[in-house]
Amino acid sequence: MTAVAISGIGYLGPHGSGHADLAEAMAKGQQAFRPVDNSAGFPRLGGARMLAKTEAAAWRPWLSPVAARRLCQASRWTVAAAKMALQDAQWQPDDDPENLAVCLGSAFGPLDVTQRLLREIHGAGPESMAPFDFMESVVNAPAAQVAMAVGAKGPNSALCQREASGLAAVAAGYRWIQSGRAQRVLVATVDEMHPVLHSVLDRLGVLSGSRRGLGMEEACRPLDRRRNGLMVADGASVLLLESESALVARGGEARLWLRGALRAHDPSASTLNWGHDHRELAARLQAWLHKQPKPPQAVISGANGSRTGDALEALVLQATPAVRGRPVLAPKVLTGEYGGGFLTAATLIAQGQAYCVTNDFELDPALQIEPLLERSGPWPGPILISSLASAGSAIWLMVEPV
Amino acid sequence: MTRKVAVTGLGILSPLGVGLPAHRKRLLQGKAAIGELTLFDSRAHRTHLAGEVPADPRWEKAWSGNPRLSRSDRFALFAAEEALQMAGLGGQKLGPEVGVFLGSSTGGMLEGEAVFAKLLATPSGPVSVARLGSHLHSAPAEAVAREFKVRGPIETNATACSAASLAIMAALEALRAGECQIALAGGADALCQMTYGGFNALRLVDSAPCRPFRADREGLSLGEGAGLMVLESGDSAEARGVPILAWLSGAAASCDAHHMTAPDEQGRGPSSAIQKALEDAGRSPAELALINAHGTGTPKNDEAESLALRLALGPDVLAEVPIFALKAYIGHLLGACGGVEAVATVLALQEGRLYPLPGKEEPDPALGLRFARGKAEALGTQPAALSLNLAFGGANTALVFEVVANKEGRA
Repeated sequence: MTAVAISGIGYLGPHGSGHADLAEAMAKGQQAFRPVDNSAGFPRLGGARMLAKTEAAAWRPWLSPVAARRLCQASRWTVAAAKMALQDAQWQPDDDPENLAVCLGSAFGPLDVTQRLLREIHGAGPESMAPFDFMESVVNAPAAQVAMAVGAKGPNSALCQREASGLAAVAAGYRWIQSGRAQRVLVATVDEMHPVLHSVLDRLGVLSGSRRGLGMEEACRPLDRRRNGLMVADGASVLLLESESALVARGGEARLWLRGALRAHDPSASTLNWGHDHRELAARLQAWLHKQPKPPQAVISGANGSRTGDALEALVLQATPAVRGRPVLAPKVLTGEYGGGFLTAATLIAQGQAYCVTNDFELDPALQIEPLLERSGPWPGPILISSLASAGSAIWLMVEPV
Repeated sequence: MTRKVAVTGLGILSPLGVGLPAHRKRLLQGKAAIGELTLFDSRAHRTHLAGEVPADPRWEKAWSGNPRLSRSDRFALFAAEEALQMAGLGGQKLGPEVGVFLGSSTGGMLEGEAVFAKLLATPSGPVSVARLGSHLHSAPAEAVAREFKVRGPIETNATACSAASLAIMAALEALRAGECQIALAGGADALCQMTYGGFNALRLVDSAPCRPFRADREGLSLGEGAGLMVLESGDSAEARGVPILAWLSGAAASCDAHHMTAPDEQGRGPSSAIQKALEDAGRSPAELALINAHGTGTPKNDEAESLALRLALGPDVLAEVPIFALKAYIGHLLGACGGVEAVATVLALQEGRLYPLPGKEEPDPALGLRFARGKAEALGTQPAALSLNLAFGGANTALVFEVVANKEGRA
């Protein structure tokens, strides 16, 4: 097995630009939810109203206007985050471009430009579609733009795995390094939360506040007794993965070690919801954890406030002896769902970054887990990062502090 | 553990027909299936042709009673079922030892477009969006995993025209790493207004059926369909007592890092993928019996691909190894093309014959490539075949398949 380091972090999201901004917000327990833009008239009367938006021009310090004019918003955010990750790792890919790969995870792809194209098709007609918009609407456009911006000539790929897209990209990057396809991989995740998508998710009933007309409060409350849906965010996050040999050769430093990845699927899940077959998922997870040299000390959970998703997460953790009773942290309470905030937050927490939940929390006795609401300092051993997605995907990563 | 994995099942539907027998027949006849677009109104577009999958209850059926499945989902489900049956896995709950690795560039975009039109008409009105659950790119892979009770890894690759071949590469890696014992891998995509209008806007579409590598080529034709294969270790196939159709022995990917839509004119990116895939397979260029080229039919792409092949294989080998371009039959299937082309590559290896390029136009002499014309021709005795895909964003993928040798040297 090749040891794989996480050596650089780039973050562009509702909490700011750079992982230090997110770290500061995590230490203070700050959320970043704001009212959704209602100018286009999409939000339903009595529906969800809040989301966490990334400032559209947050990429400016990292891209020249000339470079940016050829990129859609999702590509701008991802390229900016990739440059941050390289700067954070203190490495520039000028000597070995074929050994640098890019793997992107995105639940929805470049949505801003996609919805614009759809408006053109159904408005002025398909002949009005702009060629630039179409080029940038493909899911892999941000990955390709990162490759062009930094000169990455290794494998270049884009994966879609709903809420688990970010971890799917990390798992793929880990596999590429293990199989010798690249020495370094920029793993990225990006999503844009356009009012159209927010409205669609609201209509699907997955958002907290989707049933405000029935008196339900709109709040981001993963693993809380009162949770009633998720709250969404956008932005981009990029991690630089390096093989230990590549890291050592350049004298770089690891932030974390990535020890492995496990993927599974729960076929009991419907197209729009999480499944209920926790025993099979737990059996897979336990068998994998049993082979790890050290047991995880804590779980950083992708729980997002969904009634069924959080319940499945809790049941899986309960049914997995290797993690039963371990502290559980759920940083989506701060970052929201989508946009890469979870990936950056999980990396920072595993490094020992201070984290706290300041909004009131009520334990859900049915879940039989008690989330850790405040934590700082180094961990004594490996950490499990968990992400269960709607429609059945499940991905776990094992990371270990340096 | 051996690095090559066995292909034990194939499933395909495309404009040529529904299922493997239809494809064997039409490919040997050299008959293309690109015709008038009927799936949606094309009057506002510059072109009006496409390769459509023919209506057939075998793929149009409800599949476990789910009415919300998209056209792409159903394509994927049919191809998966056909491949599983061929591999002796039909009608089974597949469980934790099986993974799904599927490419799709648009998922259920066709259905999403209809919902979006209603949403635009009444932005805050009571529009049913439930079907958007099948709009997501990941939906076809999820539909397959759900239908066949897969509990192993699932992965949706959405890297445009390399999506399916990258998915096959991911399956190869998962099998080599022991992450699963059996993998369903390939791609599925349906035609939709987004891609049809987009390629028209880019002026990359020919107003006549596409003519890859011909001197008079003027662009691509769009198509739809799905191609999936069952992959597993040779030991697994042997233990299950199923015939091995071919070996997937190598794969590699690279990126041009050059332009979003234009290829690197030197062909260096694809050349790198080809060389690494052959290295991964432990094969030399001289061991190739067949190249299934990406062959879109656009002047620049075909030229750059030819340069890449020459750079990777050398002019002498390239003068000998015949080229096949499935897109001449069915158009460009985008996220599915790597899947159907991989299936066609395995079919050609099994048949021991190279399918002809449809049409009577002259190949472009400037490209220096060799094709079968008019009728299928016998392949040489070399053991391997290359399947190549090049995507938007410069994402290149090369797969190497090998024949299963018997006493006569070919399956």
